[in-house]
Amino acid sequence: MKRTGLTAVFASIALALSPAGADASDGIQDHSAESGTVNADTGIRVPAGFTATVFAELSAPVRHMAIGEDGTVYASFYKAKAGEWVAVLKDQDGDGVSDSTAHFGSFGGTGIALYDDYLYVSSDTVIGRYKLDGSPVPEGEPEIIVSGFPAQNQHATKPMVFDGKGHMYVTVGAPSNACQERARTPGSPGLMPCPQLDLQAGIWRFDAQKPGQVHGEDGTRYATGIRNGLALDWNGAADALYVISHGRDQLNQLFPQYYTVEQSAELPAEEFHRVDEGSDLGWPYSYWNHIEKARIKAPEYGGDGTKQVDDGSYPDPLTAFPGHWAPNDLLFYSGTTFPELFHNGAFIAFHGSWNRAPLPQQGYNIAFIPMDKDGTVTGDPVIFADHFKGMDVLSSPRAAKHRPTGLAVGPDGALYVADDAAGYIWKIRYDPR
Amino acid sequence: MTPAKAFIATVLIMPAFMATKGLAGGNETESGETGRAVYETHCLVCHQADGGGVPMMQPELWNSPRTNGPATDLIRFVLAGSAGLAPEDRAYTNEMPGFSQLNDQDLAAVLTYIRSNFENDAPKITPSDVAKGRKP
Repeated sequence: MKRTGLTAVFASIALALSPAGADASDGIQDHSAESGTVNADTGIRVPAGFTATVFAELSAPVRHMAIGEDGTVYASFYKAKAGEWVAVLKDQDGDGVSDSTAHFGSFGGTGIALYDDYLYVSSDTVIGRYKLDGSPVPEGEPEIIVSGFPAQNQHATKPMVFDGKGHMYVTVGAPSNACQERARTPGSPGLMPCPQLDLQAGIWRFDAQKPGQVHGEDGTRYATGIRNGLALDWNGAADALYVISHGRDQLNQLFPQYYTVEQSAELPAEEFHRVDEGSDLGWPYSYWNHIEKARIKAPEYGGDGTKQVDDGSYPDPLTAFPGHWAPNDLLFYSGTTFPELFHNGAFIAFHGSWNRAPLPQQGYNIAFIPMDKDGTVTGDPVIFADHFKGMDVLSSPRAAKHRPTGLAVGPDGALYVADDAAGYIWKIRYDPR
Repeated sequence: MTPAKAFIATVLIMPAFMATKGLAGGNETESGETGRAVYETHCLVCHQADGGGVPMMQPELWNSPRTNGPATDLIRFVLAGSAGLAPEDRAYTNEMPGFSQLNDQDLAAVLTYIRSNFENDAPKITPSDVAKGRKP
């Protein structure tokens, strides 16, 4: 089945094409490959009708972004560049390329957001904010809103989103792969109950504005059982929080008696959920098998690769992606300049896998989930933009040219994509001419 | 076929996915074959077929001071894992478990393997070196 043009975007979602299609990437239909070609200047592929430009090349590990009403782009760094953690970018002449770059900030990591005329930034242990007093580049020291997040190495970043009703939601990742007694050690059982769930592996809700809050004393655990909800967003249309979490690693390496290399590459799913207060998404006790469409008991907790958790303890995901794609950002499309199909839907930046070795790595793309204004998924997810890895078959993550890790929408409805390998930011517009 | 053998067989029939610099040279000794097999079973999923590691998460083994450094330091690090590293020494996020459950022959073979591949060129490590490294 060969289609070209935007009609393919509409038609193939409506038809929910079989996952074995020629343009499928690990079972997910690839729209960018179906109707677009790799652009030599940008290095990426977007569907027909869309145009990408390289908005900035920052030579820094760019993570999440926030964009002001005047189009100023704020981008956080995973590690400081020349001692500074945030880039401030502006396209003055409207050609899709930033022509003004400033850096500032004494701390950072990944999380960044604009709220009520403040720029919020997070390190691994602190969330602070800068007042934007007319100038796009803040001055002075940040005001600390929340501190006291546990120091941890794994899944340490603290992305935050706001509900517009006075609350800030913060992901606190799990400090482990699977809460084993001995970390990443073959056969080591899981701690029961997993003590990491007390202050980590969930999403916490804080007052959006109150300075001096301390994790563990202030705020509430809004949802739990989330290994690393780095990709979370508030869905303004549905008025609810959504997350797609990083699933656990190394099923074959830790439990070779239950999992083949091929199963370990494909499992578990990256699960997309609506998160209401009190939700428990099941880590570390279970995971979602998207092939069997079943919630499986984790091998650290008595599972054998097939035993199910079918007592309704944990919700089924709304949709799911193949294992280890690594969702690093989630964005509900709030613009109006993309075709109507995209309105209220969810874009996901997949950083790309490492845990599929020795099989080829997957992910390294931007996916899209069609949704309605009530927050219901209305079709199969598809790949929206691809070829970030710079080659067709990638063995080792270090060889990937780009790794998508951040998403934002501009006031003109364009989609911005950040990359922490080469430090690119792309601007993707809908331009059917 | 045991899962471990299935793993190795899977790797061996997929040479296209193996970076050339990750493969041992032409005259593979028995120890070299053992070293590669141990690497593929215990190390490859994190440090990757080409020894490139994963940016930000697991270190590359190329030009690595630890890989090419004193044998005793490397042996003790691999026996104990990375949990004991001071925070300022942690440039990578994931924790490496200790591999003290492997025998002296397998550990010597895999450490020699990583020290003589991935463009590394450091002296080989013997089973007796590993045995000494196990002592406090």
